[in-house]
Amino acid sequence: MPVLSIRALRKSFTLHTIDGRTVASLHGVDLDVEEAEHVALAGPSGAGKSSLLRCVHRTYLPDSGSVRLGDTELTSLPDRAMARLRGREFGYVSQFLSAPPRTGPLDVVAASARRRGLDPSEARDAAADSLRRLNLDETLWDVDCSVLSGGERQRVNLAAGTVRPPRLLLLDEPVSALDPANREAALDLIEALREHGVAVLAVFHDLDAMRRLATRVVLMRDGLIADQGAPADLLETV
Amino acid sequence: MTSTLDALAATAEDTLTLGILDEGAKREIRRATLTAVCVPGYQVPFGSREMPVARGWGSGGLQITLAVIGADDTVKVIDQGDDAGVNATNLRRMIASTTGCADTADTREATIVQTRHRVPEEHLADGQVLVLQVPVPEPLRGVQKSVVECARMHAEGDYSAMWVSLYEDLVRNGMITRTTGYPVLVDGRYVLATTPIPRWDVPRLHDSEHLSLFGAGREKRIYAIPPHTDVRPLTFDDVPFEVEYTPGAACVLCGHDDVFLVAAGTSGAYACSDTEWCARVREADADLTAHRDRAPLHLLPDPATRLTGTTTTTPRPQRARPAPTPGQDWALRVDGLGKVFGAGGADAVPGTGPESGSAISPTTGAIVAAWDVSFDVAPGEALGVIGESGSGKSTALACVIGDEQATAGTVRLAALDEGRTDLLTLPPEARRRLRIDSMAVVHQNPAAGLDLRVSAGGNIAERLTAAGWRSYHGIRERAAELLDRVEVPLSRMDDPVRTFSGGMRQRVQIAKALATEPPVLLLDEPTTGLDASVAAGVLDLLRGLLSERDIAAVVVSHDFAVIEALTDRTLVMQLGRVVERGLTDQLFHDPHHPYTQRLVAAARR
Amino acid sequence: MGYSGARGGLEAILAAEDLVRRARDHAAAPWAPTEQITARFRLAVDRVMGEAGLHHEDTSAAALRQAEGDPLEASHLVRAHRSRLPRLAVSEPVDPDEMVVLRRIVPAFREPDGPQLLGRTTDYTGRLLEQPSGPPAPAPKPDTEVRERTEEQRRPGRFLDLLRKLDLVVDHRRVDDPEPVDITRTPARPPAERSAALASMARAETGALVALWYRSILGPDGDIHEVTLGEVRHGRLPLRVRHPHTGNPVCVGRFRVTEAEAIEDLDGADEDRSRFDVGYGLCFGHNERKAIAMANLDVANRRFGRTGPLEQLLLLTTDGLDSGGFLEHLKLPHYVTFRSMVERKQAMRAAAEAAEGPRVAEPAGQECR
Repeated sequence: MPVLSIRALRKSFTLHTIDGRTVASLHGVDLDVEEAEHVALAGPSGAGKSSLLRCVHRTYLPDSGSVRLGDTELTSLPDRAMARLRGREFGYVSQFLSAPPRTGPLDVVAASARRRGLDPSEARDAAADSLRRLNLDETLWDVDCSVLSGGERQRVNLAAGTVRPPRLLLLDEPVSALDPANREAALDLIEALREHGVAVLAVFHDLDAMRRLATRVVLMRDGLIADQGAPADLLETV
Repeated sequence: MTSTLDALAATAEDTLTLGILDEGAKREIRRATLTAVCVPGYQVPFGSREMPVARGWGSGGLQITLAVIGADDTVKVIDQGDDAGVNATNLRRMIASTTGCADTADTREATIVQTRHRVPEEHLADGQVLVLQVPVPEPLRGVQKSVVECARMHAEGDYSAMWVSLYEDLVRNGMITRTTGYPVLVDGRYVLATTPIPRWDVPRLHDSEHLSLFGAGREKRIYAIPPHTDVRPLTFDDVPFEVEYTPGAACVLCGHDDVFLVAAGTSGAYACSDTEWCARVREADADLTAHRDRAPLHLLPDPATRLTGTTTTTPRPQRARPAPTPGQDWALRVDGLGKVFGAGGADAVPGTGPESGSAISPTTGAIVAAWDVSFDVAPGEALGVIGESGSGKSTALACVIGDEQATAGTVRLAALDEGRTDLLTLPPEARRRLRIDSMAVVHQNPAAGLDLRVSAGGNIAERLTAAGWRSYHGIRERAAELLDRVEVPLSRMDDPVRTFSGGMRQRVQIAKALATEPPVLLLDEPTTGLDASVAAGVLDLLRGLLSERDIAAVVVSHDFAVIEALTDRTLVMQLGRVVERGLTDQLFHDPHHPYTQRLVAAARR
Repeated sequence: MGYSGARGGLEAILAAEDLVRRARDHAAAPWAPTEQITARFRLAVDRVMGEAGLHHEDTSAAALRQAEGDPLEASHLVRAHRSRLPRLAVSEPVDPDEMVVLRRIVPAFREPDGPQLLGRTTDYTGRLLEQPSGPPAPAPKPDTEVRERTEEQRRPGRFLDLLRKLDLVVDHRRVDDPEPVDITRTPARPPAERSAALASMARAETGALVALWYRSILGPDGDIHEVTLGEVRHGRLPLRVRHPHTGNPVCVGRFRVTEAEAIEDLDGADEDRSRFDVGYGLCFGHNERKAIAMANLDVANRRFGRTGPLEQLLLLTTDGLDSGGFLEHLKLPHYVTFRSMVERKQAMRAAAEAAEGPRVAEPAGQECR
C-alpha cells in the first residue's frame, strides 16, 4: 500500500473579495508515493506544485477527491485529528521557519521530536544529532531563532522536519537558501531518510537537487499531472 | 365603654411591667440567639431594638442579656476586664434594676458575664454564658466594603480575600499585625470577628465549656460559639498565631505575667486588665496553677521562629485529575450556546445572523449576541475564536465563564463530573468555584483579573488560598515559580500590581490563571491594548506556556496574528454565528467564507 | 476618677446625672411644659417624631426637653421608649390620597388640579433675626375671613395622576401586593425591597439624608441629578386599626405627614427617555427637606442603587442613632485594644531591629534579582 495516495484531487479558490471570482488550481490529480520513495514535483510556477503539497497537508482544503495517508482519509479527517496527525506523521518543511520566538534551535527541533513520540532526553539527543549533521554551529543551538540567518533557519526547519523520521515528508523548496557546503549536508540528510522508509513529496527550486534526491519526478502543468518518470528520463526533456 | 385602643391594650400580656424590652422583643431575640447557636459563627440578623444606651455602648449585648436572663441569674458586667468602669457599672445597674436578678463581680458566681473587650482570666465553666458586646461584627469589612459581597463570601465560604490580607501583612511587615478582633474560623465553616478582644483571649473561645454569645446592636446581628466548638485563629500553617507579649512585663499589683496586662500609669508599668482576678490573686483566692495551664503561653511571639519555616517540606494541595473518559477526548465542550439580550429568548433568533446582516431581532428588537455556538477543546490543544467586535465571540466566552447568563445551550467540563453536568444549570457559586481550579480566565484588562492594590505574589496567593493552600512559604515558593516562568522579575514580587506596566500586569494575570494548573484556560483578547512590542512578548510567553502544558485553551481575539500564533483550530464568528471553522493555518491560507476572507485580507495588509 | 479602671464608677455616674438634672430641671427659668414645646418648637418636635419613627407630639416634646433640645438624643429617648412597649396592633394601610392638606405646592405646574396652598411656611419670609424683648402683643384678628374649604381644596387631585393620564410616567406599579418590610423587625440590608429603603429614609436623620442627597449630586461617586419636584404636601391622614373584637377598621386618630413626589428625567441608555420616573418621599410631621431628599433618593436608588454604593449608603449610613451611637462609642475606654495595638507596633520594631536595617521580604528561597 502506498504511504500517500491521491485520487482525483481538485482545488479551486473562490475569491469573495474580488467579485466572487473562482480560480482553479488543481484539476484532478492522481498520485501515489510509496514507502522510501522520493517524489519531486516539477513544472512551471502556477502549475499547482505548492497547492498539491498544501492540499496534502490540509493547509488548503481540497474541493473534492481523496488524499490518503496509509489507511487514513485526510480530506474528511476531523480538524483535531488532523492537527495531531500532522505533528506525529508529517514533516512539512517550507522556506519559512515558524518557531516560537525566543526559542533556540535545539528546543525547536527537540519539540518536534517529542511530538513524534520521543521522551524529552531522547528528543534532545536526536535534535542535537540532527543539527550536527546539518552543520549548524553548536554556539547557535540556544540562541533565539529570530536572530538566525535565512540559511541557518532553513537548516533548523529541515532538522525539525526530519528528526525522528516521520512517515511522510513534504518539502517546499527546503534548501533554497543554503550555500553549497550546507546544501550538500542537507541533501545528504534527506537522502538518508530513504533508509528509514520515509516517503517524500518535494518541490525543489533546482534541477540539481531533484536529480540528486528524486526517485521519481512528476511533471505538473495547469493543475494536472502532465508526465512522470525516472529523473534521468524526464529531467533531460524539460 | 372601652375605646378601641384600650381594648387593644387589654390584649397585651405584660403591659404593666415596663422593662427595657417588651416581652415580644425578648422572644424574638431568643429565637435569633437559638439560631446563632445552631449555626456557629453565622451572623444571624435580628430586629435589634433601641436600648437606653447608645448604639455602640453595648446595646446588642444588653439585648441578649435581657432576653436570656431570669430572676435567678447572677450577672457580672465588665468593660476592659474591669467591673467598675463606668460603662460596666451603668449596664449592670440597668440590668439588675429592671430584671431583679443578683449582680456580682466574682466570675465564679456569675451565670451570665456581659463583657466588652475581654474574656475573664477565671475559667468559665459549663453552664456559664459569656455575652460579648460587638461594635463591628463583620470580619471581612477590612477587605470588602460591600455588605452584599461580604454576604456572598460567607455564604460560599470564600475567604481568600482574608487570606490575601494576611499574606500581604506578612510580606510587608514580616508578621501578622492584626491586633484585636482577630478573625477566627468557627467549626471549619464561618470566619468570625472575635469582637475586639485581645489575641490573648482568642484561645479561650476554642473548645470552651461555656457558651459565647455575640451581640451587635447597631449592625443588628447575633452570633454564637457554642461549648466545645472548634475555633481557629486564621493564620498560615507555617506562621504561628501570636498573643500579646511584652518581655519582662508583670502586674504591679499581683506580680503575675501570665495574664493580659494593660498599661498602669504612664511610667511603663503594667497591671492586670481583669481587676477582679487580680484582686483574688492578691487575696490568695485564685487557682494559679490551673490558670497558668490555661494561659496561652505557647503562643507568645518568638521572632526567631516567626518566618523561618523551611521551603522544601511544604506540602502542596494536590487535586485529583480525573482519569480521561474513554471515547471523550475533550476537556471543555460547548453545544448550541446562545445569548439573547432582550425579550423573546429563542423566538428572537429568526431573522438575525450573517444572512440577515443584523444581530437585532426584527420581531422583538432583542440583540442576538451569539447563537448556536458549538465547539470542544482537548487537553494540549488551543482553539481560536476570531471575529470583529460585535461578532459575539466575547459574549460566547462570557457565557462559558459564567459572567453572562446563556439563553441556550450547554457547557461541559471533563473535570466536572466526567463531563455529565451542564455548567449552565449550576448556581453562580458553583460556577465561581470552578474558576478556582477547573477553568481559569485571562481577561483583556488585567484589572478585571487582578487586585491592583495587592502585590504580584498576593494576587497569586488569592487563587492559591482559594484552592486551599495554607502554607505561607509554599505559596511564596509557588508564586515565585510562576512569576519566574512568566518573566516577572522576582524583585517585583512584593510590589503592588498597580506599579506594574501593562505588559507586566498581563504576565501576572497569566501567572495567576495558571497557579492551580487548571485543565482549561480561557483567554479573552490577552494582548489587546498592549503596545505592539509588549504584546509580542506576552504572545511569546503564552505560546511557550501552552506548548509546555497539557492545558485546553480557548483564545478569543479579533487579531489573526494572535490566533495564528497560539491556536491549532479556529472558529470564525460574525454577527453572533459561527460562519467557518477549520485548522488555523487552513483558515489563514484558504479561507472560504467571504467574511473570513475579508478578515484575512485585512490581517495581511 | 471613675472613668476607667478605678473603683467608684457608680458614684461618678450618679454625680454626672445630678449635674445634668440640676442644670436642666432646676435652671433659673420658668419650666417648659410639654404644650409650650409642641406649640413653639413644632419643627423640632416633628423632626424627632420622624427620626424616632413614632408619631406622638407630646412624647417627642418630652424627649426634647429631657435631651436639652438635642434632636438626635431626643429621638434616641423616644425609640428606646418604644422598645419598652408591646406592639398592640398594626394599622390598616394608609392611603395618602386621603390626606387633608395643610400645605401643598406643585412646582412643576402653574395651575394644577386643586390649589397651590402655601399654608404655614417661612419659605418666602425674609430671614431677619427678631429679638423681641418680651412676649408679643395679643394676636390681631385675621384680616381675611376664614372660609370653609371645598372638598377639592381639602383633598386636591394628585399631580402624578395628571402625568399618568398623559402617559408620561414609567409604570412601576406591580400586580401583587407584598407586605412592606418592617425594618424594626427585619434589618434593612442590601439587597432590600423598596419598602425597606423607603422606611429607612423615613426614619433617617434629616441632616444625614440631605447630606447623602447632596453628596450623590456633588460628590465624586454620585451619579444622580436634581429632580423636578412634582408635588410637596403637608397634611393630616387618618389612622385606622382593626377593632380587636369586631374586626372592623376603626379610625383611632389622625397624624401629620410631609409627602413629596420627585419627577426624574430618565437619560440612561436602557431607560425610557420618552417618559419620566417618579420618586416618593413621606415622613412624619412637617419636614419638607427630608421628604424631598427622600423622594429624589428613592428614584436614584431604583436607578443606581445596585450598580453603585447608593443602596448601601442609604440603608446603612443614614440612621442617626446608628451613626451617632458608633461615634459616641469612641468615648468608651479602649485601653485593652490600644494595648494590643501598641504591642504589635513594638513587636514590629523589635523584629526590624533584630534584622538590622529595613526588612526585605524574602521571595521564598529564590534570590532577588
